Amino acid sequence: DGWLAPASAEAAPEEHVARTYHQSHCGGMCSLACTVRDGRMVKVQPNGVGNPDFQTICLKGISEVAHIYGKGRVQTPLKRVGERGSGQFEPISWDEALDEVAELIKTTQDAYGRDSIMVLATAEADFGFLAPMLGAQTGGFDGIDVGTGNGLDPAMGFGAGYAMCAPEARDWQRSKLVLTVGSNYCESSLPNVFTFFDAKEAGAHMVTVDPHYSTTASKSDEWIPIEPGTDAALFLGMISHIIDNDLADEDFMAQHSTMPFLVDAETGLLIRDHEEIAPVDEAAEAEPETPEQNPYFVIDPVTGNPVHHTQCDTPAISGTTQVRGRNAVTVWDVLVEGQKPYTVDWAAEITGIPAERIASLAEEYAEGPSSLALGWGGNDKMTNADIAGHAAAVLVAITGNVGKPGAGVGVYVGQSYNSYAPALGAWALPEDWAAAASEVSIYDMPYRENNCHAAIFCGDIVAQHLANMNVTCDWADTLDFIVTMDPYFTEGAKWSDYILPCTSRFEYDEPFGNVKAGYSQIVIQEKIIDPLFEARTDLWIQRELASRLGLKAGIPESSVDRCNAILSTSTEPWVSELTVEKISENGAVWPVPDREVIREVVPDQVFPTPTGRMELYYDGMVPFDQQLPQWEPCTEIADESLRAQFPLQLTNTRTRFRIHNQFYDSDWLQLMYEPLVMLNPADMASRGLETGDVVRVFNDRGEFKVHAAANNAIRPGSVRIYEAATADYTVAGNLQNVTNNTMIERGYDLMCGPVIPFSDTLVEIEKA
Amino acid sequence: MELIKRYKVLAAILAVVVAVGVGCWVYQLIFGLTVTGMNNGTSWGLYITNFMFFVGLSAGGLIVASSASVFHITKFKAVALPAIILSTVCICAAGMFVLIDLGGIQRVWRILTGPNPTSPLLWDVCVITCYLIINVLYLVFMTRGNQHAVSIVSRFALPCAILVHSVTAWIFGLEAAKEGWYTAIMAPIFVASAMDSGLALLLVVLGVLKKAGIYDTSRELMAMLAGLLCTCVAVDAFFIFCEVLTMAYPGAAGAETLALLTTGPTAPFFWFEIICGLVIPFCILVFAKNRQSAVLINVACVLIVVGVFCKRVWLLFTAFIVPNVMGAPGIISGSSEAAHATGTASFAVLSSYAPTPIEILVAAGVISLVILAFMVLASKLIVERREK
Amino acid sequence: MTRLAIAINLDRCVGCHTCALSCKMQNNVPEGMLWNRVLTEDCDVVDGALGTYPNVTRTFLPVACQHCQNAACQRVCPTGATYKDDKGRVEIDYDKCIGCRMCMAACPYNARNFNWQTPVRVTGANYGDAEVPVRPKGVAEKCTLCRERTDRGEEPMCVVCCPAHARIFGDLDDPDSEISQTILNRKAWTLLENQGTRPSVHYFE
Ligand SMILES: Nc1nc2c(c(=O)[nH]1)N[C@H]1C(S)=C(S)[C@@H](COP(=O)(O)OP(=O)(O)OC[C@H]3O[C@@H](n4cnc5c(=O)[nH]c(N)nc54)[C@H](O)[C@@H]3O)O[C@H]1N2
Ligand SMILES: Nc1nc2c(c(=O)[nH]1)N[C@H]1C(S)=C(S)[C@@H](COP(=O)(O)OP(=O)(O)OC[C@H]3O[C@@H](n4cnc5c(=O)[nH]c(N)nc54)[C@H](O)[C@@H]3O)O[C@H]1N2
Ligand code: SF4
Ligand code: SF4
Ligand code: SF4
Ligand code: SF4
Ligand code: SF4
Ligand SMILES: [Mo]
Repeated sequence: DGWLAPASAEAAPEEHVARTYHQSHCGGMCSLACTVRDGRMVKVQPNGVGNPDFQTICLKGISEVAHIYGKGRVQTPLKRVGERGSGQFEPISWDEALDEVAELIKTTQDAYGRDSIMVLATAEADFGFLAPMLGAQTGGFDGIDVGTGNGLDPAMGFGAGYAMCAPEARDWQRSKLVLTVGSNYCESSLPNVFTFFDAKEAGAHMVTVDPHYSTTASKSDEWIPIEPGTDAALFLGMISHIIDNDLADEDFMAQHSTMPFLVDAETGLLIRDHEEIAPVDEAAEAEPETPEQNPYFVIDPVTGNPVHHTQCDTPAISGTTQVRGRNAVTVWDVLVEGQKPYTVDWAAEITGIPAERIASLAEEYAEGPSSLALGWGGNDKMTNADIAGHAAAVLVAITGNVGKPGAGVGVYVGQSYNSYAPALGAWALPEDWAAAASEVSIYDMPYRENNCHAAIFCGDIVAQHLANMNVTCDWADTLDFIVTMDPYFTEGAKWSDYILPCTSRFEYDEPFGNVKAGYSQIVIQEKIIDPLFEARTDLWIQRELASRLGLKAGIPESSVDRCNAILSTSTEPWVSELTVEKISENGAVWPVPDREVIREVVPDQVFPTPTGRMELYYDGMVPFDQQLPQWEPCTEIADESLRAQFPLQLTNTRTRFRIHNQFYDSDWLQLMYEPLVMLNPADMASRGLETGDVVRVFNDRGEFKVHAAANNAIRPGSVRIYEAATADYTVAGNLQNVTNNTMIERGYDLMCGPVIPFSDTLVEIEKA
Repeated sequence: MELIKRYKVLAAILAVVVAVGVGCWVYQLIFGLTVTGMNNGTSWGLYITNFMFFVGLSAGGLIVASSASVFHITKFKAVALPAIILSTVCICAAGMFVLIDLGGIQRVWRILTGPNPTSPLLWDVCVITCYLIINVLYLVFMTRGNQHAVSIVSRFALPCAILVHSVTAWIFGLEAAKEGWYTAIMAPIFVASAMDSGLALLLVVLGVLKKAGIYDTSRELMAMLAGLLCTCVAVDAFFIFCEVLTMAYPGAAGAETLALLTTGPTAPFFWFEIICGLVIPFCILVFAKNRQSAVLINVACVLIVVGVFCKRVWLLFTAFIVPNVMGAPGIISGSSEAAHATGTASFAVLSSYAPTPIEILVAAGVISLVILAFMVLASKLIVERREK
Repeated sequence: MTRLAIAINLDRCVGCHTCALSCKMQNNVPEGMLWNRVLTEDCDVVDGALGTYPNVTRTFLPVACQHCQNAACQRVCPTGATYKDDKGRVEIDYDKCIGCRMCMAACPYNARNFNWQTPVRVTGANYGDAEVPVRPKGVAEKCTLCRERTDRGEEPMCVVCCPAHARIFGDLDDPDSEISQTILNRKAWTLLENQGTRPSVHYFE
């Protein structure tokens, strides 16, 4: 009866819709509805399920319609034939590649131990089994995005060192002032940019402090230009103004901060009930004494006597006394004394912001409720970032702008992180599977003795995760082997011996790929299309390696099993009842119950610190005189003598046109942006440059070449480039060739170790 | 085919250029207008420039010939025949350029099935068709010696010639979107430049015919026509002055366009036309003594023709340069091949255009075809008839 | 009557170009073309600024076909290929387009794209909505106000995808529609009012 079938039925192309989630780093993890026609992905739309505020997408998600088929994909397993870094490879079969890699892993581990292999995966990769299965090390701290958090989070008691202690940005609607310092939210949180305008329209005063007239600055009610790397000075100046004008929130300080705690006037250490008791056994060492076991001292405002902080809810914030015969002052008094040099005029001098503006900003901020929106891309990427974070903590504490509607501090960027996060479970690994500790963090490996002999990089670690790329490459060249696994051919991949092609988010070999917690919802990856080229899923690659190493039993046999295990082992009952099939039926997203309610942090102003208070005084920093934030300029950009040679500070920031090193190969996105360095017209003119010229950007560490553009949005003396400009997409060379990898001494005593000061970089620019 | 035989080499060269032009046109049909330098910003180029130019060139002949019978300027009758031949081939060239410029020539019949009465292009197609018919009838009646019919046709010919130039002008002059085109004086300017370029071309051609011993025009008549030409140049200059003054005086948007015209990318064309196309020829022709010199007349005429071509160039292109809604990244080229670019270079904040070799060859082909056609018609209608 | 339109809130627009690319995807717009462009107004570089640091301003201006009530493009089109439909949209019948580009010269907004060549797509295949006709070389094209979507009662793709919620779609002839109300209350304007084209697309702050 084929003869009788209507012609039109045959002509109609087969079309279906499947859904997956997209990237996390942009803050989206958008659930996307993808239309497939004749086996090709032809349309990507926001998944239209639920409240429209949660149906997000941006130009990068849309561009995937062309990008996943693009020229940037690794199409087959590749084996290096040329010099490392030369980018010369030959295609090999999966069997050859996997056999050879497995063999290399075995030999290396036999020779140097299991931790001689380092496995590092970026946020987008799905290689969670690899490090535990191999017992490999994971490179320790990575020095990324921890600059501000290092200084802020110990005070807050949460944020993980990443300053992720802010409520969600929908809270801005309830703020009077939203003070953005060092973040370009309108680009770096593009999928949630509507929250910025919802707040603006609700009447919040949007003020952005940025050296450059960023997108966010231009969308704010007011832009306050600042000298790069001086955020801490601004905060210190504001703190002084608030102190001097009695604008501080004494109740908040007394009840919810360690301002009333007593400090030994000589040692500068907080006074506790007793000296740390020497540990009786090994296990006890790991557990420091709790404030209940070993309380701090405060002054009872009624008696004027020192008492345990546990015995007084509202202690005096100011006063001197004696404890155990030692002179003691409150933290507040130490602060007030220490702030004396940091006048508003001083801050004006350092930051370049007029003194009156600092004063009025301080007053407006103190009045509240105010949100202090910090960033990862501004002062965070400089050597003095922790001081800015710490100063922010003090500013927040003395004004009580936290833990109430419309008040908060931290990085608001990234709703895929910064929202209700349902607790997902995990696939149970065999008991003997565990990643090894790294005694040396990756950024120190070129400089310090360590046991890393080979690396498996899931993503571009070489070019993207480390500054001063020439040093990185020299180090990479010392490794016995490097394997890169990525859907795309990255800059770092050129230093690998093997490159294995992974599938993108849109390809899978089973109906379901993975399950994640996104923007206040659980999102799942459905198979949109079959793997393209010879790409294989991350899970498949891990399984194949495992079976060659005799470890296959620990890896789930199917990704559907894994998804359901992740759901069913959740500690939250509503999650554990879900299955991936059930979520699929619901539209591939499952909203967090009550997500319509704005997510708050510390609503009762009880902080998850040991004392339950904002702990502003950092005992551990006494050797560096940073127990309270003390101004210190950036190490490179404030170095006047170096500046004479390399007069321009190089700001590297994110852009809405890219996610880090991704999408450079996307034709559609190349239309809007190709790597360029932007200079103020005055800096262009003094160098005889014109828009469109190819320029050489250089310093003692190295150089790269890109096009230059004159832009009035750029601060004179500072230049701006979107980070991740790699050699394949610049005129020549990597941006990372010039970036600063100085790790300051204090950094090693900070919560997450030192931050890589990518933007604490001086360069000179000349016509190439 | 007297002339073809006599000028074998020239004819052969022209034929080769025509063949190359046709080849290029076929190439353009296959690959599309991307083979030209046009883009979304400057969406008309050399073809439309030539279209305007040839519409104008065809005017001189018909106006001279028809004034002969309409205004009984009997002296003009002497040159009516070559004038009409010239007019006919030029209007054919103009028509060819419009058709060549179409992206979808295979759908051109749609004009007939769904004409949109508000479109100046539609009316231009109509009047050009009428004009062509009139030219052909004129030729036919003239060669048959039917004086009565000639005088009837010429009564239609004159207004039709004016109309052709006006409607062509309105294709541009009615576009409010283009500051540089939108002016009521566009039609008078077109008529004036048609008169001067057409007459100048006619004089050049008459000079050539005379030299070649094909057609003899008296020195006196040449001088008279040159005098008429001088008046036309003056009128043309006057209209341009009116337009420029109106642009400049308010110091508003028009002044910006004028600044672009006098200093921008099209400025060389503007200044050539003003100085070499108007001032110099006028200074030559205004003296009766000079009008007696064949050489000086020829120099003046060639300058006028080239000057008017330059005028077509600045008139057309200046209006495209600055988009009304400005900003980066600008206008997207429409074809990465046309702009020879990918990535951000696919855009242009200010629009630009340069003809490609293909366009130039196609245009050269059309022009060669026109010259060949003129030679053939002149052989048939002038040389062979005279020999008979 | 119905007069479909979009109103764009320039205060909310962050110039992200999502509307430009969503349009490209939905409508199978080939390489080298965009029906919708996002301009950094009066600047010569994307994300540029007017003025001198630090006294600078910047406006992002998305520009597509304005669906003019008095459409210059429609007036000049010799074949009637460009027409105004019953929902107030200005559309092109590709079968009638002879590629004369009168409309391109006439459109004050440079809203139109021409198929200078046989359309090329990076993926080598058509993408977007299956109902959107594939245009041949030699015809003009432009924003259709997502004719296929809006006919199905859906919002235009650029409206659905705008992350800033800067775009409102609706019927100008319905005085109670969100778009009509917004235009009234926010004192919306149209681009190049002096051109007299009376666009349906509105802008407001
Ligand atoms: N100079 C300079 N350097 C910087 C910064 C800077 O400001 N300046 N910023 C730093 C910061 S803050 C960060 S967070 C890092 C970020 O640097 P990365 O963590 O490297 O950035 P991502 O974009 O997350 O990288 C994702 C990688 O995963 C791959 N990928 C994408 N999708 C998939 C997938 O579905 N499966 C798999 N297996 N892989 C996928 C991509 O091809 C890409 O190589 O960069 C840092 N580097
Ligand atoms: N589209 C997109 N979104 C992303 C990412 C991406 O790659 N693409 N990456 C994600 C990741 S991993 C991160 S870490 C976040 C980062 O997000 P953000 O923290 O918002 O960082 P950036 O976007 O780099 O913007 C930093 C801003 O700080 C300014 N700035 C530079 N130096 C200073 C300074 O010294 N002081 C002050 N006050 N300002 C300064 C810069 O000019 C810039 O406008 O973005 C996330 N979101
Ligand atoms: S890049 Fe980010 S914001 Fe854009 S679609 Fe993907 S997940 Fe969403
Ligand atoms: S998508 Fe929205 S915010 Fe982005 S450029 Fe378009 S209108 Fe502006
Ligand atoms: S914007 Fe241009 S193309 Fe669109 S209707 Fe108006 S004139 Fe026509
Ligand atoms: S190009 Fe097509 S739509 Fe435009 S005017 Fe000509 S026929 Fe009409
Ligand atoms: S309405 Fe549709 S066709 Fe028009 S710009 Fe928006 S997405 Fe493109
Ligand atoms: Mo980051």
